[in-house]
Amino acid sequence: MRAVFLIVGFLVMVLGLWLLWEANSIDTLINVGVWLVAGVLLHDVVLATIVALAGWGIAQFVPPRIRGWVQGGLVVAGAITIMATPVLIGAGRKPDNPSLLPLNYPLNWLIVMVVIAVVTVLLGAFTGRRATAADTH
Amino acid sequence: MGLIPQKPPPLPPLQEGSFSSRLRTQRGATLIGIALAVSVGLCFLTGLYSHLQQHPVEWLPIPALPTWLYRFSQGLHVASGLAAIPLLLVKLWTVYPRLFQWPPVAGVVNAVERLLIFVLVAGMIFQLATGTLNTTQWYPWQFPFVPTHYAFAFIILGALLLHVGFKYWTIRRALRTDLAHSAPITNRPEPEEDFGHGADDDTDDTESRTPPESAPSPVGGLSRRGLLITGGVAVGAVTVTTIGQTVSPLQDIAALAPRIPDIGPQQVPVNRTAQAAGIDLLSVEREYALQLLGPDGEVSLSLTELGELPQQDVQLPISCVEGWSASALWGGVRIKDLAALVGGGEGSTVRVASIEQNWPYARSELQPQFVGSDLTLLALRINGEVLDADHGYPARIIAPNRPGVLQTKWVQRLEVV
Repeated sequence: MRAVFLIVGFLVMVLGLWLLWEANSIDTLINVGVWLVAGVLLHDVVLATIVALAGWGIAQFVPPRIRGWVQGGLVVAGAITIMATPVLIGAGRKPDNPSLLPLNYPLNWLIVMVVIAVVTVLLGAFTGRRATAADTH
Repeated sequence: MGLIPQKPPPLPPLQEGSFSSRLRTQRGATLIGIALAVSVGLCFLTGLYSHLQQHPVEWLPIPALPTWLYRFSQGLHVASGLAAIPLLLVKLWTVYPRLFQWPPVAGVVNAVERLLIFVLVAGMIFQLATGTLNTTQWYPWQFPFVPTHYAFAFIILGALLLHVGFKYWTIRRALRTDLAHSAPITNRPEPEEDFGHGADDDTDDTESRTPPESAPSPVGGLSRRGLLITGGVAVGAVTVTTIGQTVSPLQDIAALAPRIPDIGPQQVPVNRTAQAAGIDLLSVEREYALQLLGPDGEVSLSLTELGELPQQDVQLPISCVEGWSASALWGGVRIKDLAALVGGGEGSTVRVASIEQNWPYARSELQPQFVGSDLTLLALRINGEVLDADHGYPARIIAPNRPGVLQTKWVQRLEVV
């Protein structure tokens, strides 16, 4: 079974590399390489540092009882923000085509963030109260 | 004194124990990995189907029915790709200590494995980033998007299968352990997997040395299960805020979707406007005539003559490769009837040419199953109105189960072969 994964994986990857080679010139391959390395650096250096600092900040300033809720809320909010970056920047907008990117994305993003915050606080307060009630019994 | 901002303490050196989070476990990484593999697999299959639509092969013809198939598959393609974003982020966070493995390379097998993981991670980030940018028609790069996206689909799938092959016994072990007792992921070198015979060894004592997660944790914060649930909630949140671009009942909550199914000329979105296509509407108004070519010769039809042919209404979606779709009531003349005027019949193929020039998609081909379908029209109207210029006035193709980019607009000529 393991050999199947290794052999099929190898063949499929070689096919992909060949397709990549066929579709590109040396110049555009270099551009692909720049994007590949930039993506990894953006995650492994920039995003990972931000997340580590956020984790450190939570450990310093957020009381343990609600720490999990804060972490969870931030993970969801962060994932949505990364997913929405292209619509938030909106560089694809074209003056002749108002049906493309038709919404006020910064405002909508803010509303989504507020909704996530409110839901997180409500869930945290509700479960916190339940836990406190259970403690007093 | 209190006003001076406190510097964060220097990051600890990357030694054993630097990554102390008890949330990073083999089982957590495996479960998130399985969810990620499912979304990547769906993305791959639906992407392959879309590729087949645009590069048809004779031995596997695309059916004309069900009408909604492409709408469904391409909506799923973009939705599963977006869902992979939070899953990839949680997965990478979970295995992040492995980036700092020390010594960096432990043997040849380990070196190959780490190189392949770079390909997998870089490829995944590349594919998800460029794919998401594509849905907003933003192309800040020089490489050709479509064939490069296609190539990376195979590179990623291959690297993923190889990754599973390399981690085979680790994955199997992790699936047999419960989350509380799962081995932590650290930057310590892992025992190299046995590539020889019978490595299904359950006596590995890593698990037994791992202290179980104490509940509740003294430092608070997410539990191991909580992390996985959070990943699921993030997938849900990403989906809910975008899926309305293709599931129109949910369009009112699609706060972050690049398209809304009822925003556009005549309440239908547009990908390429008449202006972008360089359509000269004045000359179209003055002198438009559809050219029909076929085995029996050539026929030219004015808009008035097209209007006098038997008309048909069909409810069909425009389904874009970029993941949005919108249903509309189209009115016009059946392609089948037009083909018959110049000697076309059962098994005819129709080549479509647009007024637009110099665009790769200005021409398309309707295979026999689409020509033969009663639902395939040369549409003159949308929702009861004459087509807007941006929807392809004076005439466009609308056929079931097709990508929008093949529903050629501003049709000038139909050639029956």
